[in-house]
Amino acid sequence: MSDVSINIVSQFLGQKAFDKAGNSANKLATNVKRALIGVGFEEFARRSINAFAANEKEMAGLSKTLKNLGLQMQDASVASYLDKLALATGALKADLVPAFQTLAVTTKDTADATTLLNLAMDVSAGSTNSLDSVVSALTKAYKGNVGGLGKLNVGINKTMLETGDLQEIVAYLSKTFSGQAKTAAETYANRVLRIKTAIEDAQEAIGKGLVDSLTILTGSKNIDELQTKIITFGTQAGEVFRKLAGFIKENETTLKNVAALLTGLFIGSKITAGIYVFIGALKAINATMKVLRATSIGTAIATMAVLNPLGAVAYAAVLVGLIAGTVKAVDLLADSYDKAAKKSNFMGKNPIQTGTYLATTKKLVNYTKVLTAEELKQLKAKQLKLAIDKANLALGKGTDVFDIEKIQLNAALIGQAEALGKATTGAQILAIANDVQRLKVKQSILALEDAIASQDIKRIESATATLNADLKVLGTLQSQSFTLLGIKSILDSFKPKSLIDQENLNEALGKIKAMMDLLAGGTGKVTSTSTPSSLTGQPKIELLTGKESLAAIIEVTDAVAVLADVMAQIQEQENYAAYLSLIEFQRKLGDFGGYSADMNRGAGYGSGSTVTVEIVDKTSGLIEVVQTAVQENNRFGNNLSYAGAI
Amino acid sequence: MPTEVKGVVELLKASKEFAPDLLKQYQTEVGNALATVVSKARGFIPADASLLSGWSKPLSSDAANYRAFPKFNSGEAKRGIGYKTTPSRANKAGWSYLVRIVNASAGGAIYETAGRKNKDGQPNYKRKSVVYRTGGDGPGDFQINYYEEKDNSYRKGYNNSLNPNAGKQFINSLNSTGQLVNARPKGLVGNPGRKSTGRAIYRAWAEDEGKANAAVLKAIEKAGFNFQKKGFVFRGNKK
Repeated sequence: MSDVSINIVSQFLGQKAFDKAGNSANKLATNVKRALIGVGFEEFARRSINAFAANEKEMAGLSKTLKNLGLQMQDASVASYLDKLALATGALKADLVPAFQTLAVTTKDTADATTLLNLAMDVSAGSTNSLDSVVSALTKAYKGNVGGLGKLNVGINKTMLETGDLQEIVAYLSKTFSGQAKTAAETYANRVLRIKTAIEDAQEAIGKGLVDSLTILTGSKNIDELQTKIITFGTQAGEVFRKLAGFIKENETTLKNVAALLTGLFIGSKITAGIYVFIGALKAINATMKVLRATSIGTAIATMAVLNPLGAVAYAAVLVGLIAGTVKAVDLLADSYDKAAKKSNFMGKNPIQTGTYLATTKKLVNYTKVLTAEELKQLKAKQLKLAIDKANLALGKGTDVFDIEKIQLNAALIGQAEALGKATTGAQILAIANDVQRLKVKQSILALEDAIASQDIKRIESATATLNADLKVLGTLQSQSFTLLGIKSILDSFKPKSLIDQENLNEALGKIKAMMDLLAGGTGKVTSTSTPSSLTGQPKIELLTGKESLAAIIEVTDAVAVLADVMAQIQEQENYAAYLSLIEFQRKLGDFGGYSADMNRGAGYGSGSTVTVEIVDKTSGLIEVVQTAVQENNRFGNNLSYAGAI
Repeated sequence: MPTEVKGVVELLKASKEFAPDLLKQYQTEVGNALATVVSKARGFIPADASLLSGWSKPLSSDAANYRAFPKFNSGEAKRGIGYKTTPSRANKAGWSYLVRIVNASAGGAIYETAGRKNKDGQPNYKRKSVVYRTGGDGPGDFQINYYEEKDNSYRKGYNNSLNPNAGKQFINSLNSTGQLVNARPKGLVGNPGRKSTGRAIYRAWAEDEGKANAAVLKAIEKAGFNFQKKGFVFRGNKK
């Protein structure tokens, strides 16, 4: 039965075996990620070279030791053995090499050192002691001091220690811990470590490959020569970049001007492929110079090569591409930089000496001439485009305020108002003025369209100005912020031409007067006098042929409307005169049934008299009575018939 | 639900090695904090005569080759109630308990927990029912419930007594001396489980209302503070 208890405080201790394996896997994943993914190729290359350098240093130390011991013949086999041991057990070579070196120095024999190292690996794996401490104890024991082995707590009893028999102790340890290293190597955690070791070996190999490749590429026989070449390369590269920077600095203004011109021309349509190339060269140089300025590459390579040759190798390898890009840009800019081989010949010479400066300057001048002609053409095109844009803008405004139906509708009002001689109210004048101004805007629009079609800049500008002025006047009228009656300049322009002739009216009135005089002083006989119509002899408008312009058509249409109004008014005046004569005639004839002043007035005369029509139907009541009686007889019946008989 | 802490096991190990006086001080303070609860829990253990007489009677013979149902002894049960301040071994899930109140005796544990799973004792073996139909003119259908006849084999989780009411009678006698109390603090989210229910230590812990718990945590905090005050620094599980 489980304990009955109240647990007050608890702590999670975890599960050790899983933790160890998990941590190892995590570390491996982190290392692989760092090595291959997270850091990028440049960092990976740097680490590979560093790993190679560290391994080389350790192995070189071991080789030197073996050589000093007279065991140089075993050098290759020892290196192979250590590599295999590291891969088989997952132990770091950084631990194995010093351990083997210590044992080799002590035993002065690679076979004994190998045996003791294997034993040390087993003891370390089968106990809690580190490899270093076991090797140290074995080394001391080999020299006669077995006390250290006792402190390892590996089960060596005092008797064995007191006898100090190393062979017996070694036999005991071999028997006790046999295969421990191999067993431990098969655990999950150690398998992970072994993979890690393999990766580190691969990294060292990659680093060696990088160094070898640089050695081969530079034609160096060994690392010393490579180092010298790196320093030389750095110095030369620094010199090249210094010259390049000087050239660009000296021609900074010219280059900027050319770049500005090219940029402007880039917008246009006629740009040559050569200019594209030139722009590419400038961009490449610009980008490269920024990088060079930030890194001070030439000086950096030289400095690093002196301080850290191996680091400089990696650094230089990364910068090779950058330098190649710079050279390419220089090739594009000037012929003197077109080949890398020539570059070395030009060392120490300035661009003037090499002729590149003069050639480049000539090219720039030629480009500038071409650009000037292109620039003028482009300027002209821009001006034309600007004028058209402005005109389109004005057209847009004009279209918004134009309403042909409203203009045609109000044209009659204009004629009527002018026929009466003057406007009666300010509101009427305002409406008239707006409509007339709209007509003017329409005329300006048409004029502007014609100007655009002719592509005459001056005409377009003039028409645009006129349209804008008309639009401005129209806007002023529509704002109604002032008294229209006071604007004589606007109203004067609305005055009718000669279409409405006051003389015609006077003539008609004169004839009426003559008729009235005749009636007043008559002889008692009714004389019928045929008076010619005052409408005869009015100006006529020719029929349209369909070939006229829109403006002409509108003008004719307006004239027709005005003329029609005038003729209608004359007709009314004549009718009124005839009416007056009729009244007078009736008065002279006498009152046949009652004369009244309004006897001839109808609805059209506007006297205001009201005629009331009333229908008095005196038969409708009888009908209702009969109808009701029939219905009641049918419904209720009577003494003669029964209900529903009808 | 115990309070989770980190680093206390390492602290206790380090204290044992480098500052034994601090460890002793810690144990004393925790003991003082829990003494009240333990004392009260012991007080809830009834006398032998208060329970069914047969449970307290000694076995007639020790020759049985099986473990007989544990007998109850009041003194033994009281002695079995105590506290522990040494960390327990980690369980399968990896948890170690640092401070515990225990009811270690078999009789005391039975008194503590009997009836918290089945309030009327363990069920009898396989309850069955049969429905008898009497037809249309009869008094109507009726159902008869019964337990399947038990064989002689021992069945865990079922009443193995010949007396089908044995469990209920046993629990009723225990309840007459003390009711089951849940030690789970009120106000927590979720349903209180039966695992924290009992008649002695759980009841005492519930009646303490968290005072002992706070004192224990304070003692732990003080131990850590004093340890660092002596110049020791913890970095994870490395000294």
